[in-house]
Amino acid sequence: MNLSRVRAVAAQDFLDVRRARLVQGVASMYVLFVTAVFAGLTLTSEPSVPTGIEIARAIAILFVPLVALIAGYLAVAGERESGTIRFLLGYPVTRNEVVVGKILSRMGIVLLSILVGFVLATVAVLVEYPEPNLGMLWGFAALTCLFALSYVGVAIGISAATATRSRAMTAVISVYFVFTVMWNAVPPLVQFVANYLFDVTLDGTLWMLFSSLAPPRAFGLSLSALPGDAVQAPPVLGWETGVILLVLWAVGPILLGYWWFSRSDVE
Amino acid sequence: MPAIEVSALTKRFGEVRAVEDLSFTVEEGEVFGFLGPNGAGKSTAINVLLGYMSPTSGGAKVLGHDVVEESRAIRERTGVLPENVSVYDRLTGREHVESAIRMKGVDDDPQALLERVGIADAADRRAGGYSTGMAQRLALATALVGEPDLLVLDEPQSGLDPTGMQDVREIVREEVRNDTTVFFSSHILPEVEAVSDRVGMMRRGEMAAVDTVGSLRDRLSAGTVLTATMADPLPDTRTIDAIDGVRAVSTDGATVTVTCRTDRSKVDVISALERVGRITDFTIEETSLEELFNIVTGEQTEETADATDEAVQPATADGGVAR
Repeated sequence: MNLSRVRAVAAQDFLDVRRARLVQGVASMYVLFVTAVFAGLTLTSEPSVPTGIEIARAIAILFVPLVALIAGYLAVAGERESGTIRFLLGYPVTRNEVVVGKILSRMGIVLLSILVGFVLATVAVLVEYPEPNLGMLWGFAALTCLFALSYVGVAIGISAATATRSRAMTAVISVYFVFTVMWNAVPPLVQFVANYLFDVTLDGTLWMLFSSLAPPRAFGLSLSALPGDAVQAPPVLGWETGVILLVLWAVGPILLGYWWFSRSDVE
Repeated sequence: MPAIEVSALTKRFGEVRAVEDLSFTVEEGEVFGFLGPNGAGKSTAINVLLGYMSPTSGGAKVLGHDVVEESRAIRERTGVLPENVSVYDRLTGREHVESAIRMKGVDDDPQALLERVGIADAADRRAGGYSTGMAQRLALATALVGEPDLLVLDEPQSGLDPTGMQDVREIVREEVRNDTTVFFSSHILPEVEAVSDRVGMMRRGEMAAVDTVGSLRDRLSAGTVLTATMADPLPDTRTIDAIDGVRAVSTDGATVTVTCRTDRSKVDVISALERVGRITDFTIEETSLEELFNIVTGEQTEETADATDEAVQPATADGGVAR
């Protein structure tokens, strides 16, 4: 892998994607949300960082995946659909440089929007909060970034493995519904089926790990790392498990997607 | 060392054989025209050469490097103009070229390249608003970045107007003067004829013929057909028949039709006719490469069928031309 070529891919992609209206839209909406929560709390009698985190977390769980998936799902599939990939692969870049460049650019744009939101939130906290607990705020910011990266990873993995926009879109929408919107219903459903059909009772640590598999759950777990008691520590599984799961989500799908992309024919 | 060396290359998509046992060689510094009707497998072959696709069996070397193992080394020295090029809509022309310069790790001047392909005045507009011809020119500019040793132009004429085609020809000639090998595919014959040293004609995944344009014509065609209208019918045509390079002569009243194999013989025929009578009018028709192409590839599209009829009729009407 040649770093200057990875940079060239990332630079071109960043230039391209930051001009995409949809990406501009969702990214600035996230900035607005974070800022609005922490700035809005100053209107209450006693604004506190833990309260802000509680609200921001609820919004983040639905909204961060959306921003990340939209920012990432066309990374490779979009170029294959439009045919610009023939430009890119005509240059002396390898497919792993393409994927890594795309990761840098797409993760960069998502992180940028999250960080801008938290910088503005920091200003609000410093100026108006009686207890400006910045350590906690930025701990939350860091974990939100990791949460976002897990979804960018999923989106780029899917994008690398698909040749058309519509397939990539179908796949990320499925991921969004199964792992984000409906995950609360999935473990009980599995439990019910196991119990009813196979007479197996699912419990124990492994079962809890499965229940926490979806990135929003893993994100929730990881938040127990924050100082103070903003978020309740769950039993058995520590915050480290949450972080490890998020890292696996950020990396695993990309590796699978790259493996697929590296062996496919580009039209 | 040959610039391109394809050996027994086969590429299948499931049951479909896009390229079958293809072998050919392109020498360094030559312009090689890669001809064939749409669907003959030209693009698939190019896709394999550039590493977009991997071969099912067989292989190829480009600039001495294996297309599967050393694709990057190939693309470091190769400029690519993809078929049906689509540009990045949200990037300007200049940004495309600047990006190509970064990707190739060279130090070219974007402005000079944009001027060379004739889109300098649109350089700072987003390429999404470019016409097909402008997008094609832009893609050519990125292909020229880094002074490549090999230019691969896949259907460069698609979407270009006549001026654009003229410009592409001019750039190809300039590149050849700089010792660049040019490999370009096309289904538009006059374009290939105008710039190629040699042509390879593909037909259903296989190479039907590889030769210079001139000797292909010699091998496959009737040659040049000269038709002269005389003031009076000729008494006999033996003197014309005897001219070196004349293949066949026929008469129809005052009209004489002579098939010549060499350029010199055309001049000799004209002066011989002037000696025996008075020429009131004459026409010369080259057998078009189009006709050769149809003979070799066995393809007859409606458009080319008409062109073939026109080219052949004056000669065959009298049955005087051996084919």
